[in-house]
Amino acid sequence: MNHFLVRWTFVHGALRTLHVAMLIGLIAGPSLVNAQESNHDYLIFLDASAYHHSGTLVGDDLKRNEGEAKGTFLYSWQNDRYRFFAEAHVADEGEAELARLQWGWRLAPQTTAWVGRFHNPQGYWNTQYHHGAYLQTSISRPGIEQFDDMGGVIPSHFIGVQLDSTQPAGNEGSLRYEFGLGVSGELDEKGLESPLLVGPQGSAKTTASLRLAYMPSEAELDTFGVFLGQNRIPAKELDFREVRQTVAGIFANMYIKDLRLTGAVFFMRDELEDGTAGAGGFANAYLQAEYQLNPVWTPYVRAEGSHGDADDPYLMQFHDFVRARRLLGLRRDFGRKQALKVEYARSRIETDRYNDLAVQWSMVFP
Amino acid sequence: MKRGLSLAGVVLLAILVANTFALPLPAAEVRRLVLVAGNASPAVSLSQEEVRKLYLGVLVTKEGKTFLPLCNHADKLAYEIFMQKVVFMSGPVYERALMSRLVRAASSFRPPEYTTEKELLQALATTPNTLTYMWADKAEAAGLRIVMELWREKE
Repeated sequence: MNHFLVRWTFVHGALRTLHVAMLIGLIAGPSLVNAQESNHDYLIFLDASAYHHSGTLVGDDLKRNEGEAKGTFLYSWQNDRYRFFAEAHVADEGEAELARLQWGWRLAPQTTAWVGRFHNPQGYWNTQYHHGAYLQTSISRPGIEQFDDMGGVIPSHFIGVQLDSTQPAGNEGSLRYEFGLGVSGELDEKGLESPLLVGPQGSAKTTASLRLAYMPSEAELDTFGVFLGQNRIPAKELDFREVRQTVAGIFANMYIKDLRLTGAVFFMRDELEDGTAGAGGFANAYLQAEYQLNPVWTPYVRAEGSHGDADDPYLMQFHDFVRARRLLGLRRDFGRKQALKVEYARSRIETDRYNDLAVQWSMVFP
Repeated sequence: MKRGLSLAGVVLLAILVANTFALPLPAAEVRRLVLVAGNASPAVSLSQEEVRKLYLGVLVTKEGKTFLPLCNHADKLAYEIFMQKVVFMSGPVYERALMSRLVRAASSFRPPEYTTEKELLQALATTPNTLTYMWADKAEAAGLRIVMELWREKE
C-alpha cells in the first residue's frame, strides 16, 4: 500500500510539474522563436440557445425552459518549424476553460509532434466541431459524443503528446493519422471531468488513442475512418477505484450532391476495478442526414441508438446519457457567417423519455 | 385641313419600326470568370482541380512556388459563380469546411478574404505568388495577368 502511495504521489507530482512546464513553454513559445515567415489565424465563435423540455422528467431532473450562451476563441500560429494552437471557452454560467493549448514541432511539412492539452480523437464529432456551434449543422451533439462535463461517457480532452500526419494515399487521396498519449480525467458522482492545465488537479491516469482517416480526394470533403482508444479513468468517492475503458469504432462523412451523411459506430468496453459491479459493454451509433436546399436552407434529421447499454455498469453513473434519440431540424444561414437553427428531438435516458424544442443563433468571426 | 395617315404611310411606318428593331445590336459581352495573378507572381499553369485544392486549404506547389489564394468577396456574383462552378460547394459549406480544418488543427491555412477591390488588387500587387478570381473585363482593366479561364457564360 505504501509503495503504491509513494508511486502515485510521485506520478501526481510529475504530472503537475509537467503541466507547469507546459504552460510556460506554450505561452512563451511563439515569442521565443526566431522571427521567420509565419502566419496566424483566429476564430471567435458565439452562440445562444433556448430549450423547451417536455416529458416525464420535467420538474424532477429537468427544467421546463432553459437558456445558455457560449463563446469560444481559437488562435493558430505556425511557421516552417513550429506550430501553436490555443482554444479558450466561456459560458454564461461562469464556466471558463482552456480547452486546448498545443505546441507543435513540424517533423515534416505534413507531420507534427505536439505537446499540450488536446481534444480526444476517439470519435468524429468531438474533434470536428468541438465548441464551434456554427460549424455543426445541428444544435445538439450525438449523446455518445457529448462533452464529458455535460454527461458524456468518453473523456473529451487529454494532456500529453500527439503525433499527427497526412500522407498521400492512392492517386488523389490522403491518409491522416493521429496518435495521442497522455492522461485523461477522473470520474466522480457528478460524472467525468477532463484534466485541467490550470486550477485544482484531480487524479489522472493514462489514455492512448489512434485514429486513421482516409480522404479519397484532397479536393473533396468525404472522409472515412477508424478509431481505437483506451482510457484509464480514476474514480473518486465511488464504490470502485478505476474504470478501464476501451473505445473502438468507425466513422464516415460523405456528400452525395447536396445530401450530406455523417455517422459513427462506437463499441465500448468498460471494466470497473476494485468493485463488485464487474464489467460490461455496449454499442452506440448515430447517423445524421442533411440536405442543402440552397445556400440558405438546410433541413436535417438524426437517429441515435444503443445496444446492450443495460448491461454496462459504467453507464449507471451517467443518468443523463442519451441512449437513443430521433431529431429533425432546420438551419438557416444568413448575413456574414451567422446561422439560425430550430430543432425538435425525442430522447431516451435510462428508462425515461423526454422531448426538446430548441432554437439557436450562432456566428463566427471573422 | 386635317390630313390622316394613308395606308401606304402606315405600312411604311411599320416597316421602318420593324427594321429598326431588326437591326443587329452590338454583341453583348460574354462574361468570363478568370484566375489572375499579380505581376509579382511567376507565370505558371494550373488545372481547375489544383485551383479547387488551393482554395480548400491544400498546399499546391509548382516549380518551387507555393501559391497563396485570395478570396474575392468584393464581387458577390463572382464569388458565388466561383463557389458553384469551381469549388462545387455553396459559400457557407465551403467556409465551414475551411474553419473545421482549422478547429481540428489539421490545417492552419485559410485563404485571406478581401471585401474591397482596392485591397484585393493591392495584395495581388505586393504579395508574391498570390492568385485570385475575378471577371475578365475587370482583370484586363486592372492590367492583371490572366492565368486561366475558370468559367464562361453561355452565349
